[in-house]
Parts: sequence; C-alpha cells; structure tokens
Amino acid sequence: MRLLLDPWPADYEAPIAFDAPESQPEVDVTVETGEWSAFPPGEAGRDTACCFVDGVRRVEARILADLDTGGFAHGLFGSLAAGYVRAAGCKAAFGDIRVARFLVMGNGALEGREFPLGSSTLSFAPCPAVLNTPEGVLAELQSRMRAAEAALAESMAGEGCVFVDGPSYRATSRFAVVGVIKRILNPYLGEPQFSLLGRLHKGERTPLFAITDKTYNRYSCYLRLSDPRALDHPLAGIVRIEIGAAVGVDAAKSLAGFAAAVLPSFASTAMRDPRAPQNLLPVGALEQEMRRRLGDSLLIRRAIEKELHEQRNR
Amino acid sequence: MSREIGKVLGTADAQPLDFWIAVPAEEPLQLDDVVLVRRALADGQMVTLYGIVDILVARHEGARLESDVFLATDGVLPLTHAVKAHVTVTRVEPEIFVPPMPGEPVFKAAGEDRDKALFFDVMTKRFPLGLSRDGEPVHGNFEFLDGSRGAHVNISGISGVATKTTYATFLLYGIFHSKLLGAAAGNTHALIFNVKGEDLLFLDKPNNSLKADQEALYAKLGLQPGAFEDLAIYAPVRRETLEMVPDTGARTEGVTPFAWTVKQFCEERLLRFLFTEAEDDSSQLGSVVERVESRLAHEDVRGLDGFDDLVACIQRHLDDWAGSYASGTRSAFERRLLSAAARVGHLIRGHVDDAERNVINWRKAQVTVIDIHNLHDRAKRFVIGVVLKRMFEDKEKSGTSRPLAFVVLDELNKYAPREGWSPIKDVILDMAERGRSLGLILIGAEQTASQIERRVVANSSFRVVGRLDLAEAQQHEYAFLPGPSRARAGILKPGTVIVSQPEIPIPLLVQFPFPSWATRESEARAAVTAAGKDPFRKFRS
Repeated sequence: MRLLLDPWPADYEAPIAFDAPESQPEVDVTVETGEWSAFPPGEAGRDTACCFVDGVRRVEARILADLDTGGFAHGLFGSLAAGYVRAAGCKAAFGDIRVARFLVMGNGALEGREFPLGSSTLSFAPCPAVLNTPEGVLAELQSRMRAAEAALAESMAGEGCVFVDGPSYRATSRFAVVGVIKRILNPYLGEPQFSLLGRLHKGERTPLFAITDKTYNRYSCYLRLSDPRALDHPLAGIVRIEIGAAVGVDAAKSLAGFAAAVLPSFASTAMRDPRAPQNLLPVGALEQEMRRRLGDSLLIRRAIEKELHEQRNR
Repeated sequence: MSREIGKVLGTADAQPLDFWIAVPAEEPLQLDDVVLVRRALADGQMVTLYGIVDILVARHEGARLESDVFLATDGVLPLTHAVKAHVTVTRVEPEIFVPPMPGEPVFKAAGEDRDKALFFDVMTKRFPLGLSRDGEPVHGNFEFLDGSRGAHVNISGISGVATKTTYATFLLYGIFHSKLLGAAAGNTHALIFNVKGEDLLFLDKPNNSLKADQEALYAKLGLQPGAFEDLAIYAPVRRETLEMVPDTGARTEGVTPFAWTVKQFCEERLLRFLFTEAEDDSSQLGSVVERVESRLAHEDVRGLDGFDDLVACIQRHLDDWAGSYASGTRSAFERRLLSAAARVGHLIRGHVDDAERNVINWRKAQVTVIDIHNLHDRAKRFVIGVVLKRMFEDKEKSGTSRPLAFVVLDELNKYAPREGWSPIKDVILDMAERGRSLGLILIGAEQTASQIERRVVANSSFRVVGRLDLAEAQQHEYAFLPGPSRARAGILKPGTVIVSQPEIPIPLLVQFPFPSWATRESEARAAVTAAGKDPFRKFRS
C-alpha cells in the first residue's frame, strides 16, 4: 500500500471526495475527439482580458423567530458579496464588488431589518427560505450569493473570457462563461478515461466530454494547474471546467483551450493560499477583498445584538 | 483656496498633536506640505488643527508576501496602492486639544490658512528665511532675533557645499533690504569675518551669474536682488613692508589694511588674545598674562619700534613682573609669546601714519568684512578676539540695545570649542548670553554643533542645519530635528537648509535663492563688462 498526501489543510473540505450520486448523468466522451489523450499546453495571448468572478457569504448571526401566528422560524442575518478581478496584459485590478445583506427566515416569515452602525446604516433585506431548518436558511443565502455571481458575470458579457467560481455560470447560459470547479466530487468519467487525469502535466487537459442531465447540459474537461510533488496524490492540482452546451462545441473547444493555456499562470502556491493551486491567485485576493468589504464581523454582530435587545423595549 | 488632499486615517491612532492621513495615490502630496483639518465639537465650536507632513508612506494593500509585487506587476494578483502621510501638528486654533476624527477631510493649506499654520499671521515683524519646497515664502519672527524675545542664529553643516556663509549673508541681505528695520536700517551694522577664501570680499558687487528665474524668487520674498551697497573691507597689512598695504589676492581696490600700534596693544590690554589656545582652567598661565598685561598698560612704550622690541622688553622684565611664578610657567609664557610673535607680530607696529584709519571701525559702513583668511590660526584668533572685545565694549558703553549689530563668524568650533577655556571663547560666550540685551546678534556657523560650547548653541533662537554628516546628525545637539529631518539633512542640496525657530514646533525645510551679490571674483568682474563698460569704446570711431 502507498500513502499519498491530499495537500489541502484538514480544516477545508477535501478536494477529492467521490460521492456516489443518486443518478449518474449521461456522459459522452467523444464530442471533441475519438482518441482519448491529453491535449498539450496551448499558447494564449496575454492581452485577452481574463475576468474572475467570485462570491463570499457570511452568517452574521443565527436567529429563531417567534411568529405572531404561533410557531417559530429558523433564520439568519447574512451578508454576501460578489465581485470580479480583471486581468489583462500586466495589470490585474478589482472590478465592481457588490455587497448585499439579507434576513433569511423559513416558515413563511418575511421581514427586513434596518439599524444604525456608526455613521452608516445596516440594511438586511427580507428573504424567505423554502425549508425551515438551519441548513435550509443557509442554503438560501448560498443561492443568493450564486445568483449575485451570475448576475455579475452576465453583466460582463464581451469582456474577454469570464471565469466563474463553481457552477454559478449555469445561470448565464447564453454567454461564453467558464465555470471553474476546484473539487472533484463526481468523476463523471469511468475507466480508462479517468486514469488520464493522473498522467496530465501542467497546462495539459483532457478532451472535452458532454454531460447531459435533467437540469443542465454542458461540456466539461479536466486540466492540470501545477505538477504535484512526489508525495502528493496525482489528482492534486487538477481543476474541472464546465461550459454551457448552448455555446456550441466549437466555441467550447476554443474556450477550453484558452483556459488550459492561461489558468496555470494564475495558479496559487501553497505559501500564498492553503487551497493551492486550485484557488487561483486573483480569486484568493478577491475573496480577501470582499470579506473586507463585508465589514467587521464583530461590529456587525454587536449591532445586531443591540438591535435585538432594543426591540424588547419597543 | 485650501484644497482637499486626503482624509484622516482610522487604522492608526489620530492624536491631537499628530495623526496620519490617507492620500489618494494620484495626489502629489510631498514632505513639508502644510495641511489643516477641522473638528466640529458638540457645543458648536470649530477646532482647526494645522500641521506639516513629515512622513510619507506608500505600500501595496492586500499583499502578504514580499514577492507579491512581482505577481502584481505581471498582472496576476490584484493589489491596490495605498499612500499615507504623517502630520505633525504645529498649531491648534482655538487651543482645544482634541484629536481629528478619522474620515474628516484634510486640506492642503494655502494663503491665510498657511500663514496661520506657520504662525506668520502673528509675526508682527518678520524677516525672510527662504522659500518652502512648493515655492511659498517662509518667514522668521524677528522678535526672536532682535533680542526682544530671543536672539542669535546658529548654522551647522559640512563645508564645501557653500551653504553656511551664503545663508548667513542671505539672512543679512533680507534683514537689511526688507522694510523691517525702517529708519534704523542706516544705523544697523553687520560685521563679517571672512575666514576662508575670498568669498566675502565681493559682497558689494552684483552677481552677473544670477539667472532671471532667481529674481522671481527674490520678488516672492519681497526683496530686490542686488548687492550690499554700503560695505567696508578690512584686510591685514602685508608682512615685511613698512607701507600699509592690504594683504589680499583678488581684490585690492577699496580694501583698508588694518594693524594695531604697540601703544594700542598695551593700553587696550590685548596681550591675552595672543594666548588663545584652549587652556585648562587650573593653568597659571592666564594669571601671568594678566600680570604682564597690567604692567604693560602702565609702561612707557613710546620708544619701541615694533612687536619684536615689545617682546624683548617683556622678556627683560619678566623676572621682575612675574618673579613669583614657577619657572616652568614663566618659560611656558615666554615660549608662547615668541611663537605668537612670529605669527601675529606683523599686525602690531611701532608706528602707523594714520592709526585711526587702520583701526577696524565696525560702525563705518553698514556691513564690514574683515578678511583674515590668509592669517595663521593664531593671528585669526587674535583679530577675532580683539575686534569682538572692542565691539562688545562699544555696545556696553552705548548702554542701549539699538541699533542692532550682527556678527557673522564661521568655524565657531575653533573659537568656542566645547572643551577648555580661552579668552575668545569667553567673549563669544558673553555675546551669546548677554548679547541679546545689548543688541549684539551672533550669526555663528560651524561644521559640527556637537563640538561647540553648549551655551552658545543653546542661546541661539534660530537653529539652521545644512547638509550634515549622517553620524553627526545623530548627535544630541540635533535632537530638535525629528527622525525624517535628520535623514534628510544628509542629502540636502546646496541652497537648501532646515530651519528651526522657537514659535514653530517643527523645523522647516527652506530653499534660498542664488546670491544676487558676487561670491567670487569672476562673478563680480564679468558684471562690469556685461554692463557694456568697454574700456576701449572711446577709441572706436
């Protein structure tokens, strides 16, 4: 038996976690080529702008609401931000960063809250959650963040190549947007195709394969951002990208080629980001900047506590 | 008028006397800029804090590793620029010491605001110190120079960058040529010792190398460029000639030779100024000198023809006059007297045709230059000591501090060293301590203030620093310079000095215009031909 390292720190979810999905979607590995072998690293002009869209969310406080109609609702005060980094030529800069705050509650409760913090006002918009569970209200906040990411990505149509973290790109189906998935949860590929991943070198990608399922049809491929160390598992340093099927297979091919050419140069290193190399450098910096824009969590927590305290006197 | 240039920072403590401001990266704020910020109090009062930028910092925000800068310039990592500036508060109006609030706008002070920040609005009598980095005039409060609230200027700086004496003459030019002195200008005098080169022998000649743009700088200071019109120049008599001829090189015209007669030497008790090596207080030598001096004052010296005769006379009487001293002390006295005779003897003559003419009279002209640059060190000390003593006595006798008299003396470290005692140091110290009430203002200069008698420096209201050796800048004497100013003192260009004055709690960097008077022969000579005075024009048809 040989033991190999999963390089992400243990406090993060594992990057390689095979889940057995309930229904395996239909996968076609012949959409790009009949011969299943690695595509060599391509050349990409650095002048094409690359935009990286990402979002962050934060639960400021979990709450339980006593409803006037009896019963109670799970809820939370949540903040989220969506933003992007535009990298073109020798300049990478933050673009628009949008911050939104919600008071998410289940059980049909719908109410917003507004209260002062220093010289500004915190405004949590009302937001209903489908499920009245702590996980349900959190999932609602997450989907609001995904929606904000998608709205931002959509507003950037025509901006070179837009990379979106995770599956949020799906809401922008009409545009040439590339979804970057850091973790391998569903391999999609069977053997012998999947074993090609371990043999990819930096900048190489697998051929495209088509995924057809009930929710969304898309093209996908795996690509290697950096070569693993000898002690790392060969699947370390690999990301999967997805492109909506609506753009057509030719556009998907050229987007995949471009992504394989440019993404390794944005790969992070272990000393800069714990989730290296998959958490790309611009994305890591963007997350840090967006968390800053969310405001100080302790101050907001105190403001919420003050608001809830004063509400008893009202 | 005052323009917003940033906001008070909230990530560093803002205090009533110093605070940091965040500056937009495109704002060209620089060191020494004068700024102001206001703070509204709950009772409706508005407090204005004025200050000067003394530290500027730029950095990448969001960078965690040093090498992030490469990623940023490669266009991979997005980083933003942040510029912050530290402000030292110079004035709070009204005097309610509250911190400025983070987020408050900070303005670059202009016009009246700038005058307030630098106390120019309360200076009823002010004289030009120079121009700030942004070309605005910087004034000094004359009350701290003329003796009413303080006096004296001390200038430190390494030699060879033509800053110390040039700045001293610039200050004099400003004082004499602004309307500051009014009617007293005619009676106000300055005495300048020319200790090096012949730089100061052309003060009365306009400088032909003055560029047109410099005239605008003079105009900003309210001055007309020009020269010192009323100048008297004295130079030592030439050695080994009986005629009274000044011993100068480049300039001979208008130079009065100076010398003393043996009679003056004895009556005015000048012997002590031949013994000016710094001495240990316990030495008996001073006592022998005093004894001989008092005997000479009563001796009939009419028959003595020159200094050598006088020395012989002293040697003859020494056993009689100073018999009670140990023979070692007496021979030390003799030894020093003989060596002084070789160096100074030619300045003391048995007979001078017009003794009054050849005596230095510092009241003859507005500015008197005494050239001692080619005298031996010992003779320099003698001349300085005698002249200053005479001047001091004149002022004491007049009993009033007005009109003022300025004395410019370079190389103070030779004449008022920190260690030991000497008659000159005594005179200079007296001037530093009592000159203020006598209207006798010392503009002293030296390479290293750390080697000067502490009280001379401590009594100077204006402290000026030109370029300093960096090790010297760390000495305690420059404690009035904040850290960044000390570092800058090492890279000051000629024509730039840092000036500290009592009213402004932070030293200011000032530039002074190129001298409009000649500082060397070439600058003076060319002026004549440039003016079209062709000596041969009569011979052309």
